[in-house]
Amino acid sequence: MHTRHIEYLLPDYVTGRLEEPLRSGVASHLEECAECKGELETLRHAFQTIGGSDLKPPPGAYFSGILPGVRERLEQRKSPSVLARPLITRFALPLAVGVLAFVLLTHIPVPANNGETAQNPLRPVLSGVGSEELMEIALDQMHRQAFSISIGENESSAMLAVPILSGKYFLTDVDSSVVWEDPLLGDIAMEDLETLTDADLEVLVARLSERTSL
Amino acid sequence: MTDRSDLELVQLFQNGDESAFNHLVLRYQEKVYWVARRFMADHDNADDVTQEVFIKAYGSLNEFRRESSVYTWLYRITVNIALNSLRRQKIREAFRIDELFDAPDTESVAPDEAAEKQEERSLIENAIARLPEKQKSVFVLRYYEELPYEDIAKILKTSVGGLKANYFHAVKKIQEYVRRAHETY
Ligand SMILES: [Zn+2]
Repeated sequence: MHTRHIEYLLPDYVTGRLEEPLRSGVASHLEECAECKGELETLRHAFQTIGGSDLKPPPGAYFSGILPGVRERLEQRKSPSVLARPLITRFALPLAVGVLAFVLLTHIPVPANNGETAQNPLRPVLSGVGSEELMEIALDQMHRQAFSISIGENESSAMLAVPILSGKYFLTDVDSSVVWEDPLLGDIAMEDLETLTDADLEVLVARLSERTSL
Repeated sequence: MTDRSDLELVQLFQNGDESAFNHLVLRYQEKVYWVARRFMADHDNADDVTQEVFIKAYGSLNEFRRESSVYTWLYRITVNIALNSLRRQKIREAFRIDELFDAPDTESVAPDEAAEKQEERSLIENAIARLPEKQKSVFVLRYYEELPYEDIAKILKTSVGGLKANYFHAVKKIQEYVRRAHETY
């Protein structure tokens, strides 16, 4: 009898990675199940297309440079010479949200008002923090010339964002060490950021709004 | 020290032996790099992820408990950092809104074989890039890294049954993407 369960074994069967006794179980099932036979052909074709794992190797001495590179960066972190760092850390999240809000508010076309409420995509998440307020923060932060830091390539900050296209919550960090140091996040661990529930997010936004009344 | 087990190295590190960390890096740098490379598709981004993985590992090694093996632990960090990095890229793309709308998926083809092969490969990279995070992770770890489902389950903190379904759907989606791309040319 055909089941989903058997179907899910087919990719491993095709690539020869299914072990006994499952392998012969699937083999005999294939003799009597047209559905799986069809699926098998599709998968075989798929794996042919995907092909091998031939990636261009990294530059010659690359691997011998990893450890020195990591060590160097660890040393840099230990040295307290970067005076601006605690400040940036402290403002990281509100800063990022502010900037993001600013960008969203100014660049994202708000859907046409078809009689109903046209919502800014950020509003559902940041309902605790008015968008004018966010705009203020963004402008304020830009005055501090922190704008470029906050969305810079490397050293930046945490970013709390709403994915514009999917409409789902979306949280990302830019520099994980900064996120972890950020007292705003407190007990919310880095790993949890990816699985925040709505309730978590509300807590986060509440903390955020406390902090952003600068 | 190269003959020490992973757990012994962790133990040494936790007892204050800094150099034990170096051995872990040397032992796992290639694995970490190649997983990162599968996610990130180009060397520079994979390099960034690799560095970040070991920096994060250094910072958390003191909290490492023996419940998992060092290798699943490092893979988990790698997957998390790679996915985060991809999200960051997405956000950057969102900032560049004008580019977002007219970014071509594939470039025009030069009619020699090498270019065709390159084209096919970037098509597959695109297909993988479009998978949902979970499917992408399972696909990379199962197909390219050939890890057993039990280990993948530990890395992704999920059940084995679900992984097989994820893998199946990932393969089908890649195939479907490639098929459609071929149809439109
Ligand atoms: Zn069947």
